[in-house]
Amino acid sequence: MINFCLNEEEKSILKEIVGKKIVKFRHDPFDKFGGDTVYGNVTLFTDDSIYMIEYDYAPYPLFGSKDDDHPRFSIKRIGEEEAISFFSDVTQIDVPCNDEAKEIELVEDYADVEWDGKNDSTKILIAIIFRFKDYEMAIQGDYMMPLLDILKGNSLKDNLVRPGDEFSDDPETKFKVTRTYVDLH
Amino acid sequence: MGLRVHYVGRKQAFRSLQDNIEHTISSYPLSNGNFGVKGSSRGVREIRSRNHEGTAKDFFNKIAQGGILDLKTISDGVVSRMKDGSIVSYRKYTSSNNSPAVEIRFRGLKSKYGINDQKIHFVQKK
Repeated sequence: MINFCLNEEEKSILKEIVGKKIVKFRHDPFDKFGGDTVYGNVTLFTDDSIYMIEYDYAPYPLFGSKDDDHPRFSIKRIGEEEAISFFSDVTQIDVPCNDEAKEIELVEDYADVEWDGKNDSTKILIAIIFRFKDYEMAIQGDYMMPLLDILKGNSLKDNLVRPGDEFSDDPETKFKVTRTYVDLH
Repeated sequence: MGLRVHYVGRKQAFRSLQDNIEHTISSYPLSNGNFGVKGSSRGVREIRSRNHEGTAKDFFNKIAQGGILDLKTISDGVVSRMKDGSIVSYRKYTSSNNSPAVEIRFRGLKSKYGINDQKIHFVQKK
């Protein structure tokens, strides 16, 4: 099975944010891709720490592949000088928040996949949802490119990509997907 | 005076991916919405040539012609945004085998003009 979910250390880092006030987010300007999409990373500033949510290509050995890759979430604590764009010519913007993260929820898809007479499975982190007092914010990854959608509102689970989005356009692939939610509060 | 916008290709105006299909297909045939041939990995297409790096650049320059080109990644790639909102990326190195790759992503656009979202690896023909 390919596991593209956060490891225990990364979950523990993310869990540190629960109960803290997120002072601001830093990411690429929205005008680069239109809508609410940014590339590669979103950084969260709390009163005492800086956390980068990164979304970058990693080898993806589905069905034993040696030449495929797929974006994958990772979380790390960083210094402010590291909070920069993946693009060499883009200056990131700071977006004030000043709200306490009450809960953080991970949205994970488990898929059994059949292709070319072979079977394999994947478990992939699709999105991270932050719950504040009056609203939610979700950071959702694209399955092909390191693009991140930043969604704001309520009941955002209903606005995420459909389970199996990665496989749904491929008539040669059969799949069964189960979506699960991991609460980090 | 406004900022100068750079596009893929010389003296270009902002174009949609649709505008580039006919020109691209004349050099790179399309089969069931996909370029190249089925690769060894699920979801990956392959275009094989003796000069695979040159072919990858040529393909990108055709399919992404007239896309805004101001996003250069720190890992030696570029991302081009087309007028219709589709995104085409070129990566000189992939994280797996260092062969170049081009990705075409429509991201929720209703019309894909008969082309699938796809990832194409450019492999050296031996």
